[in-house]
Amino acid sequence: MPVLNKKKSKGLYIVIFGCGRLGSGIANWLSSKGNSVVVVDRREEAFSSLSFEFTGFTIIGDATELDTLETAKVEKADVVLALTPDDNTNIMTALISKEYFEVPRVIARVYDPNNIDMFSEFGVEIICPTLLAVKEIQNTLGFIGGDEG
Amino acid sequence: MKVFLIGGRNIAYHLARRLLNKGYQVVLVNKDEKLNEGLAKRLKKAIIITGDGSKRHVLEQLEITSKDLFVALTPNDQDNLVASLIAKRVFGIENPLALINDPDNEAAFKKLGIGTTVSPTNILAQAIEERIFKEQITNLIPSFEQIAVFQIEMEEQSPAVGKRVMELAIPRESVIGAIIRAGEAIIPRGDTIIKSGDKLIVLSKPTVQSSVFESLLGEV
Amino acid sequence: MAKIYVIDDESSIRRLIKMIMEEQKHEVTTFATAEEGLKVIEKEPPDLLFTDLGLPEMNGLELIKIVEERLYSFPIVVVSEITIAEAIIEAFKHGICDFITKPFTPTEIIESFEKCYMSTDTLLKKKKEVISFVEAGKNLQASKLVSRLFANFPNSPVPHYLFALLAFSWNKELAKRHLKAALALDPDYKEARELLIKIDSGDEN
Repeated sequence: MPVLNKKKSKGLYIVIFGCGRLGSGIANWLSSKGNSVVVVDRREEAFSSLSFEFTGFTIIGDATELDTLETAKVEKADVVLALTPDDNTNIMTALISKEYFEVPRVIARVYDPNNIDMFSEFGVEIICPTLLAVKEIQNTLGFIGGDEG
Repeated sequence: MKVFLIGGRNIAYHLARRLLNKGYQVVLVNKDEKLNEGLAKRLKKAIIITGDGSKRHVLEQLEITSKDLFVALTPNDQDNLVASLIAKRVFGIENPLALINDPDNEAAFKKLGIGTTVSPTNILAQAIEERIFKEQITNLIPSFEQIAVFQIEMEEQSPAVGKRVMELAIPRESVIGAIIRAGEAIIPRGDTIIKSGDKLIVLSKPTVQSSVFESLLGEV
Repeated sequence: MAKIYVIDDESSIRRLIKMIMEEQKHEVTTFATAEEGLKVIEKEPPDLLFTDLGLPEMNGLELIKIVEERLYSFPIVVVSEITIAEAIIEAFKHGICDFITKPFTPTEIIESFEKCYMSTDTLLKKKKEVISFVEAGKNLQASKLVSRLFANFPNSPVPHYLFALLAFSWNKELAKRHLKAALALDPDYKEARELLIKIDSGDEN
């Protein structure tokens, strides 16, 4: 029997939950870089934010339903991004992707800084816009007060 | 020892009432201020807190200890998950209980350490199935655990009658453990023939129980 | 390097599969409808076809049946949103090699290609095709197909045997050499051995 080398694609399989401004922006970018991208959102209208050149898949579904994650084939994902407007939804999707589906890299957007530590323990990477904004503002304001920072 | 009920509306109310009657100390946490006003009037002995029970800073004000009971009852699985995880990891409560609306989430919650879940959908689904075959099926162990045990009564026209046990088209995840015939218990072998009037004691995984009913009793 | 055709009415899917397979150094041509694809298949069949089932006008299943009827030997991989068992079974009944559901990962596409392109089934179909060309006297088509087989199945004895069949009528020495090569790759290759015996015994048939 003839044998061919097992060639891996350099394109990743990425599932994004939430097609808002952030989700659609990331989806467009990742897709343009040659990755296979799946975008999931509860509302069909959300997909209109995707660019014309978007070469991926769209799924209408609820990120809190296991069935939706299975339809999106999360178990085959290289990266999952949980970017819905709701913190708890993002946390749940991220945790299930990481622990249950064993996705190698999982990133969640969480607005409430109080939730960060606990979920980082699971190995989920958290992006907290609130904290990022605080840091940016601190940088902009520069050194204020007696703090050696 | 206190019982913390997070979210929920009617369920929280009725559960609280029952627990208070049994003498438990009950704390209800709910985002809905109006609802809480109503609850406070009807549940005089309970402590009612307005706030999001899935937020750590809210729960931290409640003096929760690891010996307390914690039940997440919101209509949203994601909120129940986060609340339960905080209860477990921050306050050391070993077995927080979470309501899950999507029964498929049960396995995922377990994987995350929330092993005690209640799925109303599953309970109702089971009850509905039992109604369909009501007369012939008795659920011997009413539970939503990993195994279902039923007594199924064979009638003249049941498709299984006249067949040998090994010929029955029941799923792999099921077995006929015993047959009660004329008051005697028979432990069946592959060549045991099913007779009308037999009461089959069947063990099966809940996921295949409707296939079992169909094979033994026929299409509804 | 294989010649791959893709038929799907969604441009993003066509582009995605094209991107994945071109990265694997294959030649990919895409079509938005079954009719367009069929026209080109008739002129020049591919080494493998990826097709959707839900297409405007002629749908994927009809296309698959036509390919089956006309005894084309290239494998077909269906890429579709459909998850209904009956539809999938129906497609397999008409000879497809694999079925991938959307959304799909690049790995799924690549693995499916490798499984089907190199499958024993495909090789057998191609063997039949060559033999039918030879019997019909279409030696040019037969030899074209055999050269592709040499390129695509380098370690298989079958192209050597088929070449020997071709060469049999005009150069028995060449035929013998290839038969010996076939037997070197697979000592139990019955047909090759029989043909070799035939040549050695001076049988002119």
